[in-house]
Amino acid sequence: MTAQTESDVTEVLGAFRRRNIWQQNWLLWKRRPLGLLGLVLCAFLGLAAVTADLWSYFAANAAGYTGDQPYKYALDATAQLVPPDGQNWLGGDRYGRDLFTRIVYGAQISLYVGFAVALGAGSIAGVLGVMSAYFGGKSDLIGQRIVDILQAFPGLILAMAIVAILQTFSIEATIVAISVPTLPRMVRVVRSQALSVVSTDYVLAGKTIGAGHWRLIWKYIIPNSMAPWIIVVTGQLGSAITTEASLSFLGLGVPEPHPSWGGMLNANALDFAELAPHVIIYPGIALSLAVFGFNVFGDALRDVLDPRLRGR
Amino acid sequence: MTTATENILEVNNLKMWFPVNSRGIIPKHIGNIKAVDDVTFSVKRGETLGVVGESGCGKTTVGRSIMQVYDVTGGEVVFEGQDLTQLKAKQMRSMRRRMQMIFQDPYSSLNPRMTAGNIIGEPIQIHGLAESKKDYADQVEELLRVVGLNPYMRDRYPHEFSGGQRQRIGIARSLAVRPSLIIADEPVSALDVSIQAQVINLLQDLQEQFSLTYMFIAHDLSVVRHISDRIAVMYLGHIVELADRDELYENPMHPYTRALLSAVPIPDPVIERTRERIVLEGDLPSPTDPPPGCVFKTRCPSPSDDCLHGTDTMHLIEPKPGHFVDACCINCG
Repeated sequence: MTAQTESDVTEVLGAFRRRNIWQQNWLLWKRRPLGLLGLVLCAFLGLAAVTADLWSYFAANAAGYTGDQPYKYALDATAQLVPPDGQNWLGGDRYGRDLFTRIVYGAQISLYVGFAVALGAGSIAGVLGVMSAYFGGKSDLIGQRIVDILQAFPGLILAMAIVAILQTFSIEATIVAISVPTLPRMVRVVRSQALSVVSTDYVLAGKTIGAGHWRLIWKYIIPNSMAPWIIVVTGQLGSAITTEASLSFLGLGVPEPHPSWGGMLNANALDFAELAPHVIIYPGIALSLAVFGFNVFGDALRDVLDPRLRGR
Repeated sequence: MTTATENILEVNNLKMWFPVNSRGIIPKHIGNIKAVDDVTFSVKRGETLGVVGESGCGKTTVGRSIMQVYDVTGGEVVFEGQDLTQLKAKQMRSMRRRMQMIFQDPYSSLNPRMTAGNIIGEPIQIHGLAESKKDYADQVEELLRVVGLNPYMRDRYPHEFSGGQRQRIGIARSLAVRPSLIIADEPVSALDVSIQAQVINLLQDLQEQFSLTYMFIAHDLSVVRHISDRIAVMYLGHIVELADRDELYENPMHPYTRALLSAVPIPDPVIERTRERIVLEGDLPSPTDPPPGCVFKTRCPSPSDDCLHGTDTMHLIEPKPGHFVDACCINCG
């Protein structure tokens, strides 16, 4: 954006064009204040996750921590359930760990799980849905019956069953457990959109000009099936974070001592809620803001990415 | 125009039946929609063959079957001496250079995620018709100009164009590969009347400029009369009459053609009031279960006994040179 100082004419021209696109995008975003708020929240969350070490350093200094364990795991008997003060900015949890530091690191876990589920399961579901719709026939029929079967289970129950099958507690196992129950819905959404695209005249027109399968899929079906895919994937970001929190809340998700927001809300924490409400209030706020941010951001992103909705 | 006797396209006994499956977990084949049933005709190089008929008579299906977007049930489609139904998918793709299609609905026939320039240029890319990037850009620009659009519109998306402009993009796309045959599937019926005239005139100009052959599918009889050299009338998957334009309009032999022609309004209130209307009774029979023998017998104004009780197959005879009509119906009305 700032390459105008280059003497090369083409470089300046290129920079000008790039800036133009950004300006265009800014105009589109300006009309969606809620989406912008979502974007800001997501950016804030991302920033927190990236700079967690820095915050932890400051928090450790404030508390005068000198131990050699990472501060997010450090137990301090004197800080057990203390209310927010100058030493522990958001108070301490039941083991005396600094809540502020753990919430900041919780953003890392939430984002990691959210993105891994949304992008991993999202791309698998996208491929399956488009293939199912485009090629149709027996594979579509069988694939959709499998989707029916998966859909018959409530998501959280299925996720718990997968944790039980995997018999390991780790962040990666949690990601797999959350991903599988999200697949059916995403496959269905993508498939139904792709089905309606497959039967349009412009796909027929593509066939009559001699386009092959891959060209039809890449240039016709995928771009025109993107909008609902983006909506479910960004929606999945939010709900994967909640599902992760639910699993951790039940003690089946991200294991201690990893600072997961859901884990901080764990049933054990509830026992202390009356005595020290900050133990559940702050992780709860962090969780709610993250989910809200991803949802409104996802909605706005859809509007901006779909040229047909532009100008409305 | 080239010699009028050479047939660019011969369609012999073309059948396109769509299977009807029962609903349920394991679908079962329970019947066929006989959208096109035993259709035979030919198109001469350089002419315009009009195809008319009411909704659901199979005229669009004929066009699409010729383009091989469906797996035809039976018959052959001989285009420039090659039977397209026998070609493998790869061979067929290169044949698509020679024949193109214009679609009815300009709003749904252009990929909304591609710019006008990319839509028009895509056939050039697919068939490798451009020597360089510059050549490609020049060709796209030229095509835009040929169909009466401004070259600077190449970077716009379809939703930024009006219906008439979109149809021009569709026409430019079909011209991009320099085809010899264009199947125009109701290219103007989705446009309003003033735009219809523009697009029709454009099509006629292009025909002259690029010596194109048209198969023009429509249900608007006055448009068809204006543009066609010969006209085929379809009813329930069959061609019931096929003749030169003037012969068909002045001397229709089939009762269905007569009924169709009598429905054309005359823009003169005095004559219009005295116009004789032939109104066909009843509805179009279902193509899943067409009447045995002559498919027109359920609506024929004066069916003969032979027709009502016979089960003769439909076939065209040629009572006058160049004028084909269904064998059964010529004896009826």
